[in-house]
Amino acid sequence: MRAVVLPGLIALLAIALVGCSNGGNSSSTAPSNTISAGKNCDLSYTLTQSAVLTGPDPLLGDQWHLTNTGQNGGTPGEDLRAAGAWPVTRGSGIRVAVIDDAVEVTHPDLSPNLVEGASRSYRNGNRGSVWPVPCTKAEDDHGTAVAGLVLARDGNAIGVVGVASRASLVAYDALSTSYDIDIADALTRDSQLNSVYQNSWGSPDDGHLHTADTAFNAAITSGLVTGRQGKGSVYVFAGGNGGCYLIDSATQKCQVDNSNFDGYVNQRGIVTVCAVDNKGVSPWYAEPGATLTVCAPSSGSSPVGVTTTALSGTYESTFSGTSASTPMVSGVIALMLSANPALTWRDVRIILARSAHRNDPTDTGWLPAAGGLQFNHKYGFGVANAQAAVALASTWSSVGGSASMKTCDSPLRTPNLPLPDGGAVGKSTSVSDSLSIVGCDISSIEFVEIFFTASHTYSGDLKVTVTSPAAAVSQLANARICKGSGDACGAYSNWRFGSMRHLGEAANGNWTMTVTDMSAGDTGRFDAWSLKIYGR
Amino acid sequence: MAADRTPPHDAARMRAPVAIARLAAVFAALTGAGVVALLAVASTALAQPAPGPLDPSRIETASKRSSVAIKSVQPTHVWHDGTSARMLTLDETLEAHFPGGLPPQGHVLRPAGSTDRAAAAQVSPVLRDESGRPRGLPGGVVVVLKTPMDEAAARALIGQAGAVALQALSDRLWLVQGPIGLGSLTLANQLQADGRFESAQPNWWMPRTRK
Repeated sequence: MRAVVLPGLIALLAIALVGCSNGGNSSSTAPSNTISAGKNCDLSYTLTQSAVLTGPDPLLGDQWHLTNTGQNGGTPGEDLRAAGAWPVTRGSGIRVAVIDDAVEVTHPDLSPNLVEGASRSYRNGNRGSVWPVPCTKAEDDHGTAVAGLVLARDGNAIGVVGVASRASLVAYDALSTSYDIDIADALTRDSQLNSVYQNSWGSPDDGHLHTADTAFNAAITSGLVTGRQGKGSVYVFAGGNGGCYLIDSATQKCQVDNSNFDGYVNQRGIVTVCAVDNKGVSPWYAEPGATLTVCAPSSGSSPVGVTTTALSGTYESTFSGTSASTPMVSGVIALMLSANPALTWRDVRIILARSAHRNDPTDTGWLPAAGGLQFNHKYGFGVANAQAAVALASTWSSVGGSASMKTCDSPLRTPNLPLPDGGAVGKSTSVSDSLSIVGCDISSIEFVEIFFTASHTYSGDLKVTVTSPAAAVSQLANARICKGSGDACGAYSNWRFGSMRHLGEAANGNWTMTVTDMSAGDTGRFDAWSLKIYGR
Repeated sequence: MAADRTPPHDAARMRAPVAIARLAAVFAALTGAGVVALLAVASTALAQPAPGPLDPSRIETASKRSSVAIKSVQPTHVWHDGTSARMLTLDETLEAHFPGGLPPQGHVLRPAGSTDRAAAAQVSPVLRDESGRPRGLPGGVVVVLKTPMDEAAARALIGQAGAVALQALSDRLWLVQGPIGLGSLTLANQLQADGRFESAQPNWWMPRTRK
């Protein structure tokens, strides 16, 4: 990590790195001049009063993700187009909750936007404090980098600029304990006041099927239904970095994870974010999925990362992965909500899709979607476009919140079809089954959940797709190998896949699931499947 | 899908802890003795994986079912994730330490038997789920009510089931008192079987990946 320390910073805000000695503090207010301390912590903080400066942000020119002029070898224009939105709004009035390991809320580029007393620490020894600050420099730098990308203050003569540089910050360090209850608490805390919940974390990117526990799902549902006075909390999550989690020794090919293998992001109500590099193309670690909503810039194959806030009041220029892309989309959403606070969580997803910039236009993965849109399993609907999103949000007529969302459930199909072994016969081994949706009152789909059960001796062999009545194909699962014993990637037992790919389509008609065994040596059966369709 | 590409080797960040943690996790899932020392070194990384993409130079190579010696493991415990019964396997090589005091993150997992007796009440066994991810029991049960209720009604309902309500997260989501360790798993399964609630699950600790 390359850190840039700004001369003169100490004059603005003194952050002292000192040994901790007071044994911790669980008070909800900071003791005199000491925000957080503890005998096992490496860091503590001393906040001093300083004059508020105004002036250009000196690192703004390095922030190619905001305005890509071709610096560092990038392609001009492959950015968030954030500057085009700023004449309309900088995110004022919108609270963004950053859920992460810790956030240095005293950072001089973050503290001007901090909502005093609204953050929470879950960390043992600091639990209940409103200062979820880092405890060790080696482990706790993630959330500070994330927060800067969302809302680092503009025009304060220091450092960087966030996408929504006048939005308000609250921080929850729920990853510091990683208890289910703390995660659920953070995802529902102050849901009438917080608009966006920013999450650059998730399941391991290892090709395994990882479910989301009931506590997580219940928290998300609660926020969608009751958050923001019924307009719904907006949950933004990273799609994952599993583009090459393992190399097959037999073929020397990367094994690719899929966002649909992560139970946190394969459900309705989550804005799932992918990454593109400074040329607007998919980086080597990119993880595809039908559940992807939009992408945002991040690191690529060259060591060009993203410039943002770092610990001890400094900055870094190499922040990377979908962790960097996700807060950019959270920032875009904050701009949208600032421009039109009446938007529901459903509106936000649709506007993001409709306003996205179609990057990498020659990629063969772009597929026609309803309403003249295009979808790509690597890119969702494209790269978030702040200018277009704010413009569309400003005149948007709401489709409603959770209360008006319609759902249609298909009957459970139990084809119980044998799945011939792939590879060995040298020809297609695909098996298909169809079901018909009739009498469903959804003319415009917003999300589809597909539940799939197969008994197979190696489920990682299976490629799974579903085709809609409009002949649009969602690629739900790719074949891969995983580390571990037996059915190492995990069995498909009523596994939920999610798809954004059918946005705007009608629900009624024949849907077809196709399962293909892609590798020799294992067989099984296509047991059952069903659909749950959401829309209006 | 197998990508026809090789990862770059000039990534900006080196992430040795991730590779160590993954190796350790795999070994811990498969064997008993012989990995304690490695796990002791890697325990920090296991508890909190390093963020960002994997260091390309450290991506492991493996083949289907042949990457490591396999020791078959049978489920030892069950928990209820809503209506789904999910299997768990006791990892005899590790324990999870949940002190109420100060240790910062990253020191949850320890080699089994490394905690002194005085702190034994702060220790949970480590259980691995279907994906091999370690889970610990820091105490408490997360209950989802069948319908929204005000606080008094929810506390009464939970009390009728023989449990103590601690904290409401929403009008349906509650934290119920439970001990560190397997006692919370037992209580969660009892509350699930009770039928008064939509679901009851242990308040799990498990590592989440910063992306």
